[in-house]
Amino acid sequence: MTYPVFSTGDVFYASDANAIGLWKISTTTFSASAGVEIQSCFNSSFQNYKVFLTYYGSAVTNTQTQYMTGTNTKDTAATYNRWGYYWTTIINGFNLANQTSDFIANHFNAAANYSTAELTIYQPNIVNVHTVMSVRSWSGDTGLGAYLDHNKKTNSQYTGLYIFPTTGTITGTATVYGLRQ
Amino acid sequence: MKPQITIHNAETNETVVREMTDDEYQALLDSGWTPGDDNTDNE
Repeated sequence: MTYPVFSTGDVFYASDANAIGLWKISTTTFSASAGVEIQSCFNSSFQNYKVFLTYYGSAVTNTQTQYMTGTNTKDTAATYNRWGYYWTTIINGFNLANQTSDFIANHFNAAANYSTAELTIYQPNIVNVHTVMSVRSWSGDTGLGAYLDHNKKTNSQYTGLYIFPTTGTITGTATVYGLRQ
Repeated sequence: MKPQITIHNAETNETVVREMTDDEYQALLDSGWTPGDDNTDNE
């Protein structure tokens, strides 16, 4: 039987909990921040992760990410290759190698028209594999949609994620989920 | 005044909001960050 299928009076065992594949790890809110560290969100309990972001900027800005090792060391020396496409009225493709960060979205500063993003991060905490991130983002005020993949061509074991804008500050919520194989 | 950073620890579920350190702020500037129009000083 595949859980969750529960009936009144059922006993929930540790083995049932351990069989749950999608686990909410943590939610954080941030307000007028020029950087958001989510420490210790990647660990050996999960192989892949989902991060959902809802946010807006104090100014028109891009939002970027870097991975972190240890408690809070940002991997600023990593090579982040990104490719994908975005669209407003037409589809635009891009393929950029050797970036200093991953890219989430370009968005505006209207709280009422917040932007959303869904990140899928593959194997960030597993040593000796490349960490890949797929991004789907949407800007509520411009309708700009972006679809990207990032490949980081080093094999570090990451423990956290750093989110930061290129201009001003960001306000919003980030929730990290772990996916167990 | 430097911009603020939000630090959330997913293990302890604790969140700290504070002004960036000199090193953190320099790294932000090195990334090409600009303060925009939110009245944050660009030191």
